[in-house]
Amino acid sequence: MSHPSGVVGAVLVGIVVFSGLLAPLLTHYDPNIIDMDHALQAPSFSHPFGTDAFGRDVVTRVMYGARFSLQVGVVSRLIALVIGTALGLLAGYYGGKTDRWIMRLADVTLAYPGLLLLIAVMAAVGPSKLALFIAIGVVGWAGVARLVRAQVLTVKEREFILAIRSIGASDPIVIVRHILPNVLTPIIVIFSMGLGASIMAESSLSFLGLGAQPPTASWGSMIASGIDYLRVAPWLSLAPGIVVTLTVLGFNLLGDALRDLSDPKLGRPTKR
Amino acid sequence: MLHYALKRVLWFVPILLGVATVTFFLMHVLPGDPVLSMVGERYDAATIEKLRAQMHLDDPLPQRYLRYLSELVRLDLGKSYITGVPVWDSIKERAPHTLRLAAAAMTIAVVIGMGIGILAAWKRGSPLDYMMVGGAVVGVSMPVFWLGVLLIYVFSARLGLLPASGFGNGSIAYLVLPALTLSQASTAYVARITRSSVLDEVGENYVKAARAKGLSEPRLLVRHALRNALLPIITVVGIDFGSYLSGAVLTESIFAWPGLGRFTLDAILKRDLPAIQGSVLFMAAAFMTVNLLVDLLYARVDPRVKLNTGGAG
Repeated sequence: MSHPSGVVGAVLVGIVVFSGLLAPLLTHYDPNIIDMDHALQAPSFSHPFGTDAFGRDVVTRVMYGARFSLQVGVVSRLIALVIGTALGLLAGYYGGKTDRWIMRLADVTLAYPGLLLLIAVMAAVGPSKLALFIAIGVVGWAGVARLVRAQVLTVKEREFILAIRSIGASDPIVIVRHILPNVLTPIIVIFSMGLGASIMAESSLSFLGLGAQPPTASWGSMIASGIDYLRVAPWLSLAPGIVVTLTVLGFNLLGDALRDLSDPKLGRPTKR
Repeated sequence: MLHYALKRVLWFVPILLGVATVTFFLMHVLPGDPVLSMVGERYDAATIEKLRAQMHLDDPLPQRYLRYLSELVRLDLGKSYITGVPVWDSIKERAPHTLRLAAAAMTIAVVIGMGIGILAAWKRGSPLDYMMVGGAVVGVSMPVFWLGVLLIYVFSARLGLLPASGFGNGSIAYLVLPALTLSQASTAYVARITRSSVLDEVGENYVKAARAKGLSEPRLLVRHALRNALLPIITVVGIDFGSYLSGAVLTESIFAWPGLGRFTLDAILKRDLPAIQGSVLFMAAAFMTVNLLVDLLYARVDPRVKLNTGGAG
């Protein structure tokens, strides 16, 4: 492959997905069972990242944390993708008033400080996995809609679309059967690029205590609970922190690579 | 230019009204009861009824919205449900702290980011360049709160050089770690943009001419290429101000910094509606002001830029 940083990204993502999916097979420790006899042990052969204040193996919790973060990341991105794609298709295809209203809505969503909106929603509805899915998903639709709309604008003027419409195909058929398949590549690219951001959002909320609730293992909450032990057991915060960074890095590199490989002219989204 | 600025400032009014309206309805439509978070676990029904009536929480929503707007027009942001302190007083007390933090972070981002970017452009293709580009990519991928924890670990827990958290009556030592934390994503971003915009300019004829004249490479980059690369850099720094507001929430809660971000977070967690509305509105106004200043600066730096007096911008 001609894209070395993309390979690095794919490998990082692969490791995280692999260890998240196979966590129960890769470790014989339980992520949640408390074992005070072995609390706050330093890294050793049997506990490579040591144990936390409740005697739980940190590596095990990091692996189960991958499950949680990936679930929230993928589901919330899918929600963002479905809403964003639907509205982007409508805005781009129909234009005019529909376009203006949808795009103004996107502008307002993007203008709002994203994290504050997320914090407000999570504080109001109460932290749960479902709330995380929906909140992060709904906040993320606007970027997708913008991109899809821009793609639709170029596709809909192409001759084959004009031809299909001239033989009398209805709008829904044209949109779903003929335009959607032609904007699918950028949608896949933006899915990958957004996954890193979604995981970052999830871990920020969990860090603030608004995401994963104890005893569920999540990288953000593990970092937060490790702060009190920075002097005696720094691995509690350091291990999950390194893993979040590498995971987000992996998705960013992979997304960049997919973008470069699919269409060098495709712009970077303005929001990081 | 003055005409343009005035027009933009006038546009603040409808936009802020929009932000106020969205925040108001969002906070009132979502479930959760501010009275319950006020009284806590031990409460009796009578107290709650009395409080609800006092706070006009039982009035119909449109009526409460109108009351809120009429107070807003008189520049009255109301009093905190929790502390009873006027929201405006709290904002006045806390905003300078956040501004100080953001200004320090912005300075770091510009100085270090541009420094790294120019260095990478000068040594382009070298291992140093790859290291810096790689570092910038990692920097963008690192969560703000995690960098904060890492800095506390290294500089406070390990080396004992700097205080881990707090405000310390405003001494510089307390500012260093939070400012570094807040600046991280921006620094990485500015470095990337500086490098690529300087490299874009290097191919231009005027730079080739300057080089033919015998100017040394660093001088060439800084005196000529950088000057024309400033525009995208300014834009990035301006756009990033929004991320400072989000970042301030996390940074201020890690470092116990008594600023607006922490204030807003506490207000949201306690469903202190007046405090939430006031601080969100204030942040939106600050964000728009910075955007306006950036646009004006834009026209100063590049005379080719025409300010468009037509729209809201």
